[in-house]
Amino acid sequence: MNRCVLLRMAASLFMRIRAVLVAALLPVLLCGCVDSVTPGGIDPPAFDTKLSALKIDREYFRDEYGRYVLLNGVNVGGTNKLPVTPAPDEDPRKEPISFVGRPFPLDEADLWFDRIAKYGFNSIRLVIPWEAVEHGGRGIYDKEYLFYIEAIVAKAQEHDIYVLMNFHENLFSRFLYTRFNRNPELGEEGSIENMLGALLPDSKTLKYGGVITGDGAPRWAVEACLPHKNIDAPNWGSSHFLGNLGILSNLIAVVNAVDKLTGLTGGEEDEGGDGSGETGPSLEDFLQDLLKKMMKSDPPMLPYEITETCDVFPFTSWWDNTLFSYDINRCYGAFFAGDAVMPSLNKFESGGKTWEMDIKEYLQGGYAGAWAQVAKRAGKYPNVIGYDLINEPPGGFLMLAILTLYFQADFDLGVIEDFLVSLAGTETGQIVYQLLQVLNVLPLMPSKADMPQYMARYGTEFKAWLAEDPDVCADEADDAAKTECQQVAFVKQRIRKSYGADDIDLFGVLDLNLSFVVNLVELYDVVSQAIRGEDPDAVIWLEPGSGALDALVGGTFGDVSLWKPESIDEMVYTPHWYPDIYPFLGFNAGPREFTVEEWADVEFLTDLAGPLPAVLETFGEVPVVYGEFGTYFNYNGIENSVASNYAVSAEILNNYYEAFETLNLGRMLWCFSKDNTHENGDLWNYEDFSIIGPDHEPRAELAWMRPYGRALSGRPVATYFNSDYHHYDPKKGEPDPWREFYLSFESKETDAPTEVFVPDCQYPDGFYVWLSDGWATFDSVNRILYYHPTRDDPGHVHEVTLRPPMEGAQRTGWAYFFRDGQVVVGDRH
Amino acid sequence: MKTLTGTLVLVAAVFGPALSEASAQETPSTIGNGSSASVLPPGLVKKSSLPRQVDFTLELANLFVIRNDGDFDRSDPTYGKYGQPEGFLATFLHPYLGVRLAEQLRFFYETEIGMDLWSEKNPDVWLGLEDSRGLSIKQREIWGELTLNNWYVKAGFQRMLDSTGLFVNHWIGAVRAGYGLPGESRIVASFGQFPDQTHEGWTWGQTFGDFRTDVLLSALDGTWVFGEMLALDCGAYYVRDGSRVDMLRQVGAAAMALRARGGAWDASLGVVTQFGRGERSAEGGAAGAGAGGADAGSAGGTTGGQVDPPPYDASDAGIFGWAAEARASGRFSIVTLKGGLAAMSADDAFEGNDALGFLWSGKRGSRSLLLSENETRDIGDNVDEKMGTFDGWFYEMRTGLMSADLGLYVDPLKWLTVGAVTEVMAAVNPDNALGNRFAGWESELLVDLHLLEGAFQVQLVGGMLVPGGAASAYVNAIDVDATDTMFFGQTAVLMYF
Repeated sequence: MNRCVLLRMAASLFMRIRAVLVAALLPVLLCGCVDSVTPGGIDPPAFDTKLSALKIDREYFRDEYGRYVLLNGVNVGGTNKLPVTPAPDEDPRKEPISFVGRPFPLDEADLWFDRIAKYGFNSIRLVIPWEAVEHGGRGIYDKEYLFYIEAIVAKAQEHDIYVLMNFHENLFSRFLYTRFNRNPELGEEGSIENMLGALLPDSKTLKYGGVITGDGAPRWAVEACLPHKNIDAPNWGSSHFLGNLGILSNLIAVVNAVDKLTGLTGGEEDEGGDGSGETGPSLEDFLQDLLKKMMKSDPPMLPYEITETCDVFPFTSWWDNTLFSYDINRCYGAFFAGDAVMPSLNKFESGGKTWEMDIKEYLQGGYAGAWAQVAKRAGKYPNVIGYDLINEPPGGFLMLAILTLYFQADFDLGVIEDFLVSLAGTETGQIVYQLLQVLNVLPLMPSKADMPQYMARYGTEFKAWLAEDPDVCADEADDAAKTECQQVAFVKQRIRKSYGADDIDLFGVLDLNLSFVVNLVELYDVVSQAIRGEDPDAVIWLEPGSGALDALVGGTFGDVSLWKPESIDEMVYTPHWYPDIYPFLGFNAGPREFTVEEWADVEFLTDLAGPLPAVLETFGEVPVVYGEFGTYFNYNGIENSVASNYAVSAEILNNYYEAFETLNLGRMLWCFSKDNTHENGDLWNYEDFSIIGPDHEPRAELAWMRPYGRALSGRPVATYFNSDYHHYDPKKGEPDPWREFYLSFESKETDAPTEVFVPDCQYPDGFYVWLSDGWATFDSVNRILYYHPTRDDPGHVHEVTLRPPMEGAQRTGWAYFFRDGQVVVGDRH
Repeated sequence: MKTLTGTLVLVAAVFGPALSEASAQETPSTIGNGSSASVLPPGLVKKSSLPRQVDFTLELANLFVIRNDGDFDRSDPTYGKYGQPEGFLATFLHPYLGVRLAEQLRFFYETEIGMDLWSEKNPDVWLGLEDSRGLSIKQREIWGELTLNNWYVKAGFQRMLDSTGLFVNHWIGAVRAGYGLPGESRIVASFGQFPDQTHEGWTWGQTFGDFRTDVLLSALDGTWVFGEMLALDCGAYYVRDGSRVDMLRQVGAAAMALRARGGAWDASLGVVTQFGRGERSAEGGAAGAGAGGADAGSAGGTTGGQVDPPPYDASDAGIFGWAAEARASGRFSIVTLKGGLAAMSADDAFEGNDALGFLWSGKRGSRSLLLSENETRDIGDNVDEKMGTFDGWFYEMRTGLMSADLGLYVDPLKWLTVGAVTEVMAAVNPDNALGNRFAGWESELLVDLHLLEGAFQVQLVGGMLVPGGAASAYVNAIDVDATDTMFFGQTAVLMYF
C-alpha cells in the first residue's frame, strides 16, 4: 500500500472519529499540564477551620462536628495581676486604676494571638482580677475594661482560640503587700543577715525597690475586712516587723532566734555584719544608724503602728503568707464565711453608698455581680468555654485561728504552743510555734523594761481610755498594782484593737478551718447563679481548695473534695499542680538550684493522676483540665539558665507533658506574659514563668511546643510525643524514636477531619506520616495536619504516627512526607 | 516477553491431583491428533468427540540481578546488616497451557511458579505458605473461550487491557463477549471484578454476598483494522470501586490507540482520558450554606440566641486525568530502533480537592529496566510505580510523568543482538516531588544471545540510573534529597520449552 493511500485512509478515519477525539481530548485541553496552583504548591484547606463551640460529653469536650477536642492552653498572663495604671513601680494605691491593656493592648492583640496560635495553643485561661472590673466601688463597674475584655475574647475567636474566663486572685488583694530590699546590704546572699537586710531600705536612698503583693480583690473589699487598718497610711506596705518600738531589740532577737533554730550562721565570723569579713560597723551599729535615718526622714518611715500597714511577709515564696498572714486570713475568712467569722461587721461604705448586710454577702455579692458583668459580655461568644470562678481558693485560716485564740486566751503563749502541738504533732507543732515567734507574728506585750517607753508614747490615749472605764482593775490592792494592771489592760486592748480582734468569732473561725469546703461550695453556688443569669449555658470550672490541716501537715494543695452545687449544670474540674520547684522559705530568696539530671527521670504521672479517682467518685464523668502548671525559667540564676538554654525548665515541662499525654488531659500552662523581663520576671512577685522571654521569643519550646491531636474524629485512645528531653531505652541497631509522635483513636464518629498540630520547631526538615487508613492534607501555614480516616467499622482504631527524617533511620511504608509546603504521597491504605 | 509456541508435551504432575488420579489401566494417548483414548477417569467430564489440541509451553528464567543500592542514597542505616548493594539469584518457571477443542472452544492456563530465590529455597517448605518465598504459585490466567461464527465469549481470570494498556492492564476475573467484524475488527463488551479483600474479611455474606464493597469493571471496546497497515483500538471503560465504605469511587475512561505498521516499522499512539468522582473524598465543610459562628445557615439549631453551625459534610472529589503514549520502531538492515514518549497528568499539591493525577496500571511500553517495568521479570520496584500512590489496584500519578526512551539494537549475527537503551523521565508537577522535576536518566547496554530459534537466550544487561530529586523523594529511605547514581547489572538465562 503506498503512502498516498495510507494518508487518505488516515484522513477518512479522522473524519469519522473526530467527534470522539474532541471528546477524548477535551479533558486534556481543560486540565492541561498541571503545575503548582499557589506558591509552595499547597492550596489552603477547603475545610472550614473556623472554631466551633464546645459541648461537654461525659469527660470529653466535643465540638459541633462531633469531634473530641483536647484543650492545650496557656494562661494569659502573669502580668494581668497588676494594673496598667498605676505602673508596677508606682505606689500601688495610686489612682486612677485601670487594667485596660492587660494582657496586651487591643492593637497588639492580633500579633500576640497569632503567636499563641502558632505555638499550638488552642485555648487560653484569661486572667481577670476582680479589681479590674469593680475597683471603683461595689456595683461600680469599669465599663472600659469590660469592653476591652470582650474585645479580647472576640479577637481570640478570630484566631480560633478558646477562652476560659478566670477570676484570678492570690493573697486576696493587690492592696495587701509589703516592700522589701532586693539588694540587701547585710550578710551574704542566703544568710540570715541578708534576709534581715531585705526588710530594710537602702541605707543611702531609703528606697526598697521590691514588693511582694497579692492580687484580686479591689480596695473597698480590703477596707471592709480590715476596718481597723488605714490603707492610706504613708507606711502602708512597710514590713510590720519594723513598726514597733523596741525595733532594734526585735531585730537582734530575730537574728539570734533564727540562728538558734536553724544553725545557719552566715557571716558568723563577720563581726562587721556586712558580709565582707572585714571588721567594720557592727550589726547593731548599722541598724542603729539606719533606723535613725528612717525616723528622721520626711515623712518619717518609723515608727508606725500595725494598723498603718499589713502583715504580709516579703517571702519570695509568697504563698506562705496564706499560712502566716493574719490580715490575709481575715480577708479570706470574711469572703468565705464572714457571717460566722465576723458577725459584727454589717455596715459598709463603698462607691458613695452605704451597704447594710453581713460582710460575706457584701463581698460575695460584689464578686458575683462583677462576674455577672463579665458573663454578660463573654457569654455571647462561642469560643468562651467556661468560667473559672476563683483561683486557688485557700482554705487555711491558721493564723486567724491562732491569733483569735491567742487574744481570747489573754495573750497566753502556752495555749498557742499546746494548740499547735495538738494540731500537728510535737515536732511540727514546735517548729511552727518557734517560727511564729521568730517572725513576730504573735504580738507580744512590751516587756517591763519597755513599758515606760510604751506608756510615754501612748499616754494620752491611755488617759482617754481610762476615762471611759475608770473601774478597770478596781480590785487591785494598791495604786501601783492598779496602775500596772490598768496599763497592761490598756496595752492588751490596744493590741486587740489594732488587730481587729473583737470582730472575730473564734468558733466561726474553727468551723471555717474544719469545713472550708462547705463555704467554698456555697461561694460556687452564689457565683454560678449570677453567671448563669447572664449566660444560661455557662460551663462552670471548679477548682479545689486546700484545708488548713492539709497545709499544716504537708498535704497536697487541692486534696479537699468538693461537691457540685445544684445550680451548676455542666462543670469542669480544674486542679493545679506544681512539683517542688519553689524558692525556699525566706526573704529575697534566690531561685532554686537544680541540675538537669535531678529532673530528667522524674515522673509526674502519679501526682497528676492522683485526683482523678476522687473526681470520678465525687462528680462522675466530668472533664478534668489542669488549669495551671509550669516552671520557673531562672533556676541557678537567670544568667546560668539562659546560658543553658533553660535546660532544667525544659526537663520539668517535658515531664508534665509526657504525663498529660499519657492521661489525655487538657491543660493550661502558666504562663504567657509579653512583659517578662530578666530582672523582674513576669512583674508580679518576680515570678519568672513566662514561656516567652524579654525578647518575646519562646523559651524551652522544644519541651512544650509539641504535636498533639487537638480535634479527633473518634474517641481518644492513646498519644505520646518523644521530645528531645524524653529519655530513651536504647535498643541495639534501632534508631531511637526521636521526635516520634503517635496518636490513636477509636472508630470515627464524624466525617470532619482529625486535626493534629505539627510544630515547625520539632520538624524543621519535614516529617513523615504513617496512617492506619485514610488520607491527609497539611496546612503548612497554620501547621495543622488534617487527617481523614476512612474506615468506620466498629472496633477499628485509627493511628497516626509522625517521624522526622533522621540519620540512619530508614523510613518506609509511609503515607506522606511533608516539607516546606510540599508533599510526597506514599501509599495509602 | 512473549513465548514461542513449541512442541506439545503434557506434564501431568504439574496440574494437580485430578490428573494424578488417572487410572493405571489407561495409557496416555498421543495428544493432539484427536485420538479417542483418554487419560481422564470415565465420568469425570462430559467429553465430546470433537478433536482436541493441546499447546503447552514452559518458560524457565534464571535471573541474576545486582545493584549497588536499593535507593539513591548511600547513607548507612543504623543497623546495616545487609549493606547497601541489593540483588538476588532466582529461578522462575512460567508454564502456559492451551487446550483447543475443535476450533470453537479454547482453554488457557498461565501460572507462575517462583520467585524461587536461591537464598530462600527450602525444599521442606509447603506450597502456598504466605511467608514462604521459597516456592509459590501465582495465578495468572485461567479462562475458557467459545467462538461461534462471529461471536465469542471468554470467561475466567484473564489479563485485560484497555486500548492503550495504560489504564487497565491487570489480571482480573472477567467475562468478555465479542463480535467479530469484517477483517480482524471486533467489538467486545466486558465485565470483570478486581481481586480485592475488604476490611470486612472473608466471611461469606459479608464479602462474597455483597458486591457493594467490591471493585468492578465494565468495558466496551473494539478494534477496527483498516487493511494491513492501520488499526484503531478504542473503548470506554467504567470502574466502580466500592472498597471504602460510603466512599464510592467511579472512574470512567475513554481510550484510543492508533496502530500502524509497515514492512520494517510500526508505530502507535494511545491516548486515554479519565473522569469520575470519589464520594466524600475531599475536604468538606459545614453542611448547608455558610460556615460556623453566629451567622451559620439555617440547617443548624439554636442555643441561647446563637445559631449552631450545621455539621461537617464531606465533599466529593472529581477525578480527571489523562495519559498518552507514542511508540515506534523501525528496522534498518541489522539495526532496529525502538522509542517512545509518554505523558501522564499530574495532580496539584493538595490532597483534599479533585484528583487530577492519572490512575494507571503501572505498565508502560518503555524498554528500560528501572525507570519502567522490567520486561524480563517484573520485580515490582520500577521507579515510575514508586512515584505513584498505590491504592490496591491503580497507581495514582500525582507527580504526573513525562518520559522519552530510545533503544538501539544491532544484530551483527543471527544469534546475537547488542543494544543500548536510554530513557529520561520527569515529573510534571514538581510540587508533588519536593520541588524537583527531573526524575532520572537511565542508560544500559545489553547483549542478547539467542539460540535454537530463540528457545535459549542469554541476556546480559549493565547500566546506570542517574536519579533526579523527583525520584529520590519517593524512593530514598533516609535522605530524600540524595541523588546518588545507581549501577546495576542483570543476567538472564531463558529457556523455552
